[in-house]
Amino acid sequence: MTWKARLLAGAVVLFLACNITLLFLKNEKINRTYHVDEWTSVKKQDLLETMPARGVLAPKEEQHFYYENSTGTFKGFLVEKGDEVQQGTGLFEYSPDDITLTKEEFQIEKDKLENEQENLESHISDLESMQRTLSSAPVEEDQPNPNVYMIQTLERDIYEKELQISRIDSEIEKYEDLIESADESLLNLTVESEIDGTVKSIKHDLTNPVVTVISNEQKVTGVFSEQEIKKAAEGMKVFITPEGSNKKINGTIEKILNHPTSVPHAETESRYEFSIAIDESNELESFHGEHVDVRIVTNEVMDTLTVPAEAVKKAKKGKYTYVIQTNGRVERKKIETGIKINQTQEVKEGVENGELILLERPPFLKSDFPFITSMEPKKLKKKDLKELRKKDMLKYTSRGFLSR
Amino acid sequence: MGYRVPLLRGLKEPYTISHQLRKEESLSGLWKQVLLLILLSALVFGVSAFFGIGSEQASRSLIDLSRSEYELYKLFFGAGQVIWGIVYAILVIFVPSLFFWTLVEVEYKKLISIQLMVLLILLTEKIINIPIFLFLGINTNSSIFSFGIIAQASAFPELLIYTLSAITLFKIWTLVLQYKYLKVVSERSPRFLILVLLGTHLFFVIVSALLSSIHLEKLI
Repeated sequence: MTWKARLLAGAVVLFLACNITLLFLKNEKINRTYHVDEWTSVKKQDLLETMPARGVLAPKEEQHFYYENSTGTFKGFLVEKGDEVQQGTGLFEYSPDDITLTKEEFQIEKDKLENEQENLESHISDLESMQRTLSSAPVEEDQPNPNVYMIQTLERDIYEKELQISRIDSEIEKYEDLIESADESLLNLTVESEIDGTVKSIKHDLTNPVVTVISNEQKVTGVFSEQEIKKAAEGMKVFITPEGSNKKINGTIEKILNHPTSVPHAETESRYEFSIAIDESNELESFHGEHVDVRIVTNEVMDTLTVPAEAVKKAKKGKYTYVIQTNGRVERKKIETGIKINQTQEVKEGVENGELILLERPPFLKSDFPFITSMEPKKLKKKDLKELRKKDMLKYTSRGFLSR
Repeated sequence: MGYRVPLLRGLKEPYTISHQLRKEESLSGLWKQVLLLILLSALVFGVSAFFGIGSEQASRSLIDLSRSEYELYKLFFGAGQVIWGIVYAILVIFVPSLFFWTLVEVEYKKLISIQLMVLLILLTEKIINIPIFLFLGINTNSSIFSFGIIAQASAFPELLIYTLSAITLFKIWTLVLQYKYLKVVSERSPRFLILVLLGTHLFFVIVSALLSSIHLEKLI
């Protein structure tokens, strides 16, 4: 290189160095244009903080039916193990023979009493007629009536007999009641299921409960660890997803047992059972015992503003995000953040719904500078091209033509 | 057969090529070179527009338009830039050479050859500026090759900032190159040539500064 060329190169380098230094030192005064790669809008949505758990589908209800000796003799089962039953389906029945027999006995007893009663009544009428004859007999004056004593005796007899009749009446009533109840027993010989479900077990040796029916409706059961039970509470919303499907079913924690499943031991972690009620509107066509993934909503913020976590930039004095303004400039806005779930950050203050925010941090942090974006031909839609008016095409093209 | 001006060598060895250019009676392949450089210019402006450079105006509509409409806006904006790239190349090749032709006694074709080299320098500047723009956010006014940064740092008035930012090292290079060639191919005195060149450059710088300051694109 000649000395001239060296001088020239030196001068150019000096000039560039000077410019670059000024660029950093007088940062505020230099106009810049940010090249924006990615942006997104502030969204309003519900934020859910969830805790995963595993559960298993179990019948919602289990109903036991007992055989009672007092009701009658066992006759037979009407269902088999595994049968589908509806509400009102007969499960097993009692034999009617015994009851009919007793009922007949009662009837005989009742008839006997009624006969007795009739006899007594005729006896009374006999006594009464005797009484009448005695009292109508002629009596001599100044002579005491010899029949008075007789009449009195008869009267006492009649009274006694009437007492007997009323006693027998109540006896008859008792037997009538017994017959009636026997009739009722005859009607209640069949034991019916009270729920829709499946017969889970039948004990042919008649040990109680003889029949167990499980409901078709399901619930979810599972166990919590010691850490998990602290976060969960009864009444929390739950999303249930059967394994290998993408259905999302709503439920609620129904019960958490606050005593561990096994005897607590210092060396092992205690586990606690819980159950989840599935919302009625959901039809789950799964088998009992099928495993499900459960997400328990431990924290829920409704209708809140959210931004992607990467849009939140931390600085010494707080948190910021960069907002695209309507005048085509980027503004740095201070924000108040709330809870963060995965990559979504709640923003309590600082931005509005629908505002556009940058995902990157523009170099040389500064507010109120214009920005540009690269073309993204993939985002173009043919439909819009057809709808674009000629006037606008010309306008945009001439703006491009005149822009420096 | 005429002489085909080696444009790239012309930039590196102005002394040799300028003497060669003076001797030649006729030039060949000139129109092909002109066409090629116009296409190159369209390409460079297209690439620059693809990255959105200069589309601050379009960015204002980002909020109002749908994503697809916004991209469409930029597409047409880019088309406008490509057209400007072609017009720009034509202006740089033919206008100054026509101007010099009226003042110095040189064949018009030779002047066009010189202007082709000038255009090559200007396009190089634009290409180099694309990555710098994208990484440092430096726009035309704040190019590190121009005096714009110094002007802004010193808080000069706006028009002066525009004027100074239009003066770049590459522009100075073109001026020096034009001087070197014209000195060889024409019979005119150096002082006259410098005067003419400074005059034309100053004229274009001021015109472009004025255009920048009134923001023509905003008027539409």
